[in-house]
Amino acid sequence: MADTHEELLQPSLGNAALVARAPYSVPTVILTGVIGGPIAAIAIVLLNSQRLRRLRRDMLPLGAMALIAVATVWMTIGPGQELWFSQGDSERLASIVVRASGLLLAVLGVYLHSHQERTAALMGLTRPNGWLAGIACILVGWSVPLLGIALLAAGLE
Amino acid sequence: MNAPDDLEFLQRIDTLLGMRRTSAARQMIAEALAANPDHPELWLQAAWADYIDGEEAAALRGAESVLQQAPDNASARLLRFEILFRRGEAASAERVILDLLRDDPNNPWYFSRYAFLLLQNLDFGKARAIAMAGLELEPEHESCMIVLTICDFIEVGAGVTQATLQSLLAKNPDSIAVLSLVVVALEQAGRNRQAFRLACELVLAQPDDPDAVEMVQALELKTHWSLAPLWPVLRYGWIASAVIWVVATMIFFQLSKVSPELSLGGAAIFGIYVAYSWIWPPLLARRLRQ
Repeated sequence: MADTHEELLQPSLGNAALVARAPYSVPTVILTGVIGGPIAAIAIVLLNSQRLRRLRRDMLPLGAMALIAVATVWMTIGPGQELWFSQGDSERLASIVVRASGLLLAVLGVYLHSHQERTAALMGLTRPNGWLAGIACILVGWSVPLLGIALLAAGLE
Repeated sequence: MNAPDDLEFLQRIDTLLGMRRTSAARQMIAEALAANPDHPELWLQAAWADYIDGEEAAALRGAESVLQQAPDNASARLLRFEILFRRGEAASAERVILDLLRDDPNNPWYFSRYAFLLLQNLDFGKARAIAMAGLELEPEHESCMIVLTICDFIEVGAGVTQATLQSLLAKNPDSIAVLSLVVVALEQAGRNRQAFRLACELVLAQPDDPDAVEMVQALELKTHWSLAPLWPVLRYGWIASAVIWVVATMIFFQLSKVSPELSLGGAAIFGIYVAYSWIWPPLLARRLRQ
């Protein structure tokens, strides 16, 4: 029996750098996405991928999510704004679209890590404090699009 | 008084410890230790009682002291593993359980404990493989089957695991661990009332188990009539909450173009609903705990 399971019984938890840690909780991910918008949602999902040691595996879905985020920024505060929104309601509607997009990406992120999320919930794992990471991601979510637009404008001039 | 070398006497203490009746077990241990102060098995049982009562430092001291006299004592090594597991010292716990498995590779209980350790560290793929290895040794080993059911939960969801749960329950109708798992499964499936009723049975069976009491309190809160308007949030959690926010914002935005008064009234009602969802559940939880 020992020979049969020799490979299975090799230690795998010895190297802390390779051991997955509990992800940020669902409320942290969702609130970050809704308040900070799509870029913030991607940032917090990225942090979770890193904590779960599956960054390489998540590259493709994260790339697809980044495309949605860029499209949202383009149509809400970027050059696409005029194409998508009429003058009267542009600001309020754009804000709703940014939040909805942040929520969508946060939900996709939760779904991407749903197995780990369910394991953490079932095993009652202690979650990392989401305040610092959440606020940092929200700030990133607010500042990156503005920075991008500013750079784009500077490039056009 | 019974002699501690009497196997039946030691087994009676083990049974009490298994039922978490530590005060009764401690009383028996203390009486036996008064007559046999150097009996290692009694000290080990005292250390297990400490562990069950959450006194990990005392339990570890007890286990280490037994291991100094008998380094191969499997129960003391298992206790050391359980303490390290509970403390979240995964690498050290893994070393201890793998040593135990090397010494006794035909013990499915060790396989199941290692599988639980892997689950705690989010490696459910290896946890499943380890539990399967345990089941090769004993096809109906309860703890290994529980690990497999948890893995099913994680990978497939509550709906698909119902058949597994039913067969597990049929084979182990009196198992507290299986009943706890069924409560979790019902809760995950949104069947909170049934989960609450079963959790009450669990507390009746194990009134000293703080986890079971906590489970009943949480489920009592979820099934309370005054929280009925919060059903979507209680069922689908924060995702439902966020969806409600976004949908409500969109509705009020569109409504404000047609009828600003109606939009304002709707927003006020929504604000009251939000305030109720934030204020009332914590107050009710505090009242129920009392």
